[in-house]
Amino acid sequence: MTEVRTVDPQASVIGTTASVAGRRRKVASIREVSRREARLLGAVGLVAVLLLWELSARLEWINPLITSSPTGVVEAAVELWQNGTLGPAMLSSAKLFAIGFGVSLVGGMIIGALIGWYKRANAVVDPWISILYAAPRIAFLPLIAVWFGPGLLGQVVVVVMIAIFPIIINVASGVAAIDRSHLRMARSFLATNHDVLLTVALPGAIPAVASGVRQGLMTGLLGVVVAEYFLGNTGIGGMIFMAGLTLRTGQAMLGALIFAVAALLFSAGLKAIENRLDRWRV
Amino acid sequence: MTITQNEGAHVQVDAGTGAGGEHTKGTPGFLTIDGVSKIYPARRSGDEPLLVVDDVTVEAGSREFVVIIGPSGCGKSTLLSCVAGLTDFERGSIRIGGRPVTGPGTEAAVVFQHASLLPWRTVEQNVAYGLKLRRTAGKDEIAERVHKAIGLVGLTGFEHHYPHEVSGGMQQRVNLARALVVEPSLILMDEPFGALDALTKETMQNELSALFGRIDRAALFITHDIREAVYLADKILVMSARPGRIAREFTVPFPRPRDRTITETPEFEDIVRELRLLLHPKEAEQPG
Repeated sequence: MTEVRTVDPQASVIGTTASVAGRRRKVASIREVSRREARLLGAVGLVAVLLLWELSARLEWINPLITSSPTGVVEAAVELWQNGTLGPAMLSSAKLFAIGFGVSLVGGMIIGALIGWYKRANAVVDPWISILYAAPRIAFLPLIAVWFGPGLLGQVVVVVMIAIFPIIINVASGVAAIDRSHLRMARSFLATNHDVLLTVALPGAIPAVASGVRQGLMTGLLGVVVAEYFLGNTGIGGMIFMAGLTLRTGQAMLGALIFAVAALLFSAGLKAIENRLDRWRV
Repeated sequence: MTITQNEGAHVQVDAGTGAGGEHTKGTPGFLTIDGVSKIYPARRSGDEPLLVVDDVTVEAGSREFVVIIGPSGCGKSTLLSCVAGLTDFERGSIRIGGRPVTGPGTEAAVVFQHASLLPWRTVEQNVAYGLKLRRTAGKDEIAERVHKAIGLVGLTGFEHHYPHEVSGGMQQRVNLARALVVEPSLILMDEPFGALDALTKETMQNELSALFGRIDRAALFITHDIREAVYLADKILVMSARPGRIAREFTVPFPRPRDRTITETPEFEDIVRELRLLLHPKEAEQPG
């Protein structure tokens, strides 16, 4: 971090003090933090908290049975991997997420595009979408268990129910929000409705679609956890739930960590896709 | 489908044509706007409906460059929108090449006030957009005409840039090329240089003027810039505000091709002064 100092005191605004009506005041100066510095500080923060956690548990300032510790989490991971439960649990969760999010993505995009484009279709289904979107949908969990059973089908329904609405809502608003000047321009070149949908509305909706997909991904993960907690206790979600009941806090922490890492990976992956799709964005 | 009267509606890029400065108005009566009025209905009950264009009559030849000038909000853009078939009107009729305008048509193409480029399409794809929508040309023909139009407006080398990567002046060139590439017999321009800085504006005016010396097109150009009007026009129609009426018509005598030197002649200044008097009589004494 080099600091630039200007020779001319008039030109150097950063961090200067001024005297106004006999009173000294510090003039606003918002310092930028370089990328490297930000990363370094972030890493330091992470390591510091982990060290403090480990130390507190070792010195029994806190009860490691309840709080676990970083080494406890690692031990849990090694143990579960060696006894052959961690791998299948992760696969099971991944499968549930893939099916549930896949259905939400395809269904949400199609439904969203249809109701964004066809105003009458929108008028018909809008009240239902609004009610379901606004409602705490987890409340339907017992009903879903009754209707679809506690197996994979019921779990997929839970994930879709949670993940599909943000996708529908974002895609629909993106498709509906056609730039009026673009529409006028397209009309002047004799564009049909079909042309406008394909060349103006859908490409214009890409940013909204991306944010819908992002929300869908995150809520989809939440859906997996909820579905596994309450329907069948399978996968990583089931593992967290059972571990919590039996006070194996290391395992519970491990499960939560796995979901957190998955969320970060999805987020980074989506960002990369967005950057490629979006070369045209300012 | 009737054959349009504008037989020479093809881009002639060869330097030989028009070198003698012979710029005729072409076939008279190519564009006729006959007693057109546009009324916007009252927004709220109790409000009066708004008469924005009142009994406007305009005639232009098939190679004539007609400029409509008027203060902001005088209805000149609305009138252009009516000619483009994008706005309906209550009374009167508009004909292009003898055919009445009932909606957007193939005879005219619009150069919009704000470039209205699709941000997810490159310069090249934006220029091709209107031509593709018309579905009259094959892939190879589209590519060839787009290439030619891009050259014509001086955008060669920027084909693969996205709109946000090029300057405002270049965006307006894309806007212009998108209209030229469909080879319309009438080009409608709605204050295309209004948002540009003064230097870019002059360059664009020079190039547009040169371009019109080389191609056989009629043009209807909207502006509120007096010097721009005189520099570009064969005929200037002055529109008054609320309701928009044609207050006066000027014929600009300068031959084509024109260059900037005409703007320094007393004849040019005379027309500018007269227009200024008409457009804002109170401020007429301000220096030009």
